[in-house]
Amino acid sequence: METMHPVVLHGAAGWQPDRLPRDEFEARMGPLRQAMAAHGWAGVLVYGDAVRYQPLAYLTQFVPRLEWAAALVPARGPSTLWVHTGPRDIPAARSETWVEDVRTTATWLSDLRAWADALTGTSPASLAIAGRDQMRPTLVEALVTALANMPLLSADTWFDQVQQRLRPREARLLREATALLQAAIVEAEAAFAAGSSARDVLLTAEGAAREAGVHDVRLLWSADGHTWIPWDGRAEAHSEHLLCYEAVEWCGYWVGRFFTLTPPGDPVAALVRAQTRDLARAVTPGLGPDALWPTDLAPPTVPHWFRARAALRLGLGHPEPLRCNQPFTPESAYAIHWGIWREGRAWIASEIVWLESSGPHLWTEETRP
Amino acid sequence: MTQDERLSALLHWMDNEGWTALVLLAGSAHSFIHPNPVVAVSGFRSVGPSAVLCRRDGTVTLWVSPAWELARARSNALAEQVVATDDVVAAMEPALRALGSQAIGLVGRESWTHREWERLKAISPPLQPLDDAFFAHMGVKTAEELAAAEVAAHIAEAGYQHLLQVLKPGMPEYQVAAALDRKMRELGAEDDFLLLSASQHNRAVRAPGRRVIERGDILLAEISPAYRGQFVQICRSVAVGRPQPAVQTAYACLARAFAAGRQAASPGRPVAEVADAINQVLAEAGYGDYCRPPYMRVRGHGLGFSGVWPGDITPDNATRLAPDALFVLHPNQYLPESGYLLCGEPVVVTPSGARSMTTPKTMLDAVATTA
Repeated sequence: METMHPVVLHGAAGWQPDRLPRDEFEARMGPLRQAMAAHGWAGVLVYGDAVRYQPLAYLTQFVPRLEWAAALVPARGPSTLWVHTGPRDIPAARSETWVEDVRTTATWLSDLRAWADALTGTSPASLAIAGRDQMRPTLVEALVTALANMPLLSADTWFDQVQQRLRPREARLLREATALLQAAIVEAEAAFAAGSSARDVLLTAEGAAREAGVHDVRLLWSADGHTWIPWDGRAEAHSEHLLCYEAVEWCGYWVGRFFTLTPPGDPVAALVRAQTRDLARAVTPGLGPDALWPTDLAPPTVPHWFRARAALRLGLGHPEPLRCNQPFTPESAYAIHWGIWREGRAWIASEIVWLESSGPHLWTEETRP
Repeated sequence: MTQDERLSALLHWMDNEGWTALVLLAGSAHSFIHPNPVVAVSGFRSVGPSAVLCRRDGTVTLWVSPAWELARARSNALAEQVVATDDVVAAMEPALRALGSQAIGLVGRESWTHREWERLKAISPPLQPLDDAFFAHMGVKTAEELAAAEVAAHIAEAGYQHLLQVLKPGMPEYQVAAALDRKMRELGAEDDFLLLSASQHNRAVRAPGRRVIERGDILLAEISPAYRGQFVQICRSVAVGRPQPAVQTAYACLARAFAAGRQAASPGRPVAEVADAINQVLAEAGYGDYCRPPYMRVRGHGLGFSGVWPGDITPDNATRLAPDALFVLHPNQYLPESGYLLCGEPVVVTPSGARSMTTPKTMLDAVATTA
């Protein structure tokens, strides 16, 4: 679900080596170096910014809070991380990554050119880039000019494929993120039940997650299910029917859920939650997502996002719905969203599913306080 | 200047310069120190990439994304036509093709991604980059933005007072930040550029981390709420427990530097003289060698979303100040005796000089701790 990006990520920042120790990144580097050898890449340049940082964080754990950063992984030798900030802030950036060579971007083009000039060999060396499409136009133009004689290839497909299956520590982080999200939603539900205004419910949902130490929180709310409104300080008074979307980021990993706040005993809300759980329990390896949706559960006017389901991976602040022909795969996590319309109102719910070969685990249920 | 007057000035400039239309772009990343041309004209911050086509006859078309932004954009944006779409480039194509080969200016290219820009370029007539000229006309804050800044300044100060109430040893930095952020959102802040960190001897201010506050720390906070699309910033330093005399002395030096900078910020004077005035106070105190990175960054800066005129407060900024210029003035600085300290307020230039929107802190604040 796309959400309003804040001007800076101001939750709890920093690399947590107890959760992602250095050997985790060494293990991730291994297949990359094999791919470099197989493709003849002399190096891989990985770009990331505050909105889109997936491949960069996968290799370095560095999540830019604002602006951008890039890392060079050479075929031989240590990696370099350039962060678009001034020298004052480099010591802080060093504490957020396992990469030891952290520099400002003031020298990134000359550093890259020096690296390219030092390459030797009979065949032309190539550089594979991850995230080139996400760069600012002038960055791409400057890069192409600086490395004029070097073929620039794409590493995007490799990163997409290698991140399809979650590593065990990644799964643990996603489960922890689900628990943090669940705790925040429970507090929001309690605030709603106590008659709080919509703005206080939203503030509770966000505040609880921030107090628990997440790095980022996103909220959207809706009264009708058609329009989703980011936090703007203008939420209305208490509503008897409030649709919310909350997502939290924990160590770079995002989990997001829709939930509907209604008075106790609302039979439609109970029905939607039950249907969503049933759908989540039906997630099966090899099954195409479309097979999940019985036709009797699909009203003809349902908006597209009601049926969205996203694969949860690193850095997916804006997860894209799975393509209909893309089967569920084991060792993956999914957000299953489901909702219905009745008499001009919408009800929506979500389940977070961890899929193993033996079947799904409903993390949303397992982690609810 | 009102928003209507600002748009009229823009159209007058387009007419004089021969521009038939302007294409204004804003990406999904948002910044409080980079100007946003879509916000400047339409007053609307979109969740996803957005664009404005501003024609010389004054008609404004706004494209926002994703498609579910339609109702919010229609009720909040200043535009004759609003289009909400999941693909801004595709939705813009008919309007851009209809312009033919007329003289069309472009602002905000760098806020879009390479992919978005390449797609737009492929379907658009030639576009001439005009960022500097555009923001020279659109950078001055409107009366509406200045009124919003006053509210944001109140929010910032109230948030800081709340921070002083909750701050105590044993709290992780992120919980202090969470409490501050929530208080400001309760008061109407829609976004918040917040850096907050603490140490016994700070080298800089950072994003909040997991470090636990200790007695003897100096906590630093750049507190920057946005209200109705307008940011302000206050920069605060707080001693946790009784501060060392050397830290108090160092802070007093920064407070004097702030006062000197504000005194220099009068209409007609170049921004560079404001930075020079701050640096001079520090140099006279023996810290001339510290008036450069990595010991400091800039002496202040403009405040988004729309424009950030007059830009960074640096010795090489020749921009001349004028009434209604809004910026934060902050002699934030590392000094060897105290570590990094923050000291800054939002100021607005008036015909008689710069006025601080908040109450300057002439002495270092401290929170009591139990021994």
